[in-house]
Amino acid sequence: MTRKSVTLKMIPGLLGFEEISEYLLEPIADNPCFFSMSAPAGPAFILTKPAFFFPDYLVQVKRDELANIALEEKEAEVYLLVTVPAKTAEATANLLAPLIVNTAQGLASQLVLHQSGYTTKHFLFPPEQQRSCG
Amino acid sequence: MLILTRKAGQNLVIGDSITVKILEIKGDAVKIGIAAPKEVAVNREEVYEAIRQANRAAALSHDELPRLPVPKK
Repeated sequence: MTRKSVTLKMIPGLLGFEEISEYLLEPIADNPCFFSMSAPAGPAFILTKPAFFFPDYLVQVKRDELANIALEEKEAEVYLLVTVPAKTAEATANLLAPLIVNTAQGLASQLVLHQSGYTTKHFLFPPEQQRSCG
Repeated sequence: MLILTRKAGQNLVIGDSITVKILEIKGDAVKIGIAAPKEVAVNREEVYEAIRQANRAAALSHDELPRLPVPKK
């Protein structure tokens, strides 16, 4: 797990932010459940890991979908983009399009999990569930 | 926009690396197979739009990273 800063090259650029390729991924000091991923000239994103909030989350990809980031499956780290509305308790994660990260080589790519049944908005904090962030 | 008529089983070639195959036509639905290089992303338009909007909604400016709740163990 990433506990220090990593510079990531996004290949291809995130949809909506195609012109930005370089981000800094770093843990958020006072909250072990989240990370920040920021471009030098903005914007910044909050990320989390599926294991913290969605332990049953399954990413199924074909090997050639990982070719962009030179990844062998055992090295894959998966992060989720978090959308934080004014009421932070209603934060959601994008399970349809996770970020797959090759930490060792500093490469990342946003995948689309076609026909997975996931959407771009899953609540992180349904009150009935308890969390543990390793 | 170029408009072509194709039958099931016929193909289209775009450039020298993308092939679009018309696999099956059933009522108002067409089943299409696309062979493209891996650096070319192929998405349903509505999925592409949904992800673009989600990414934009998730974007924050550097100096206003929100504080999120720390989940209880």
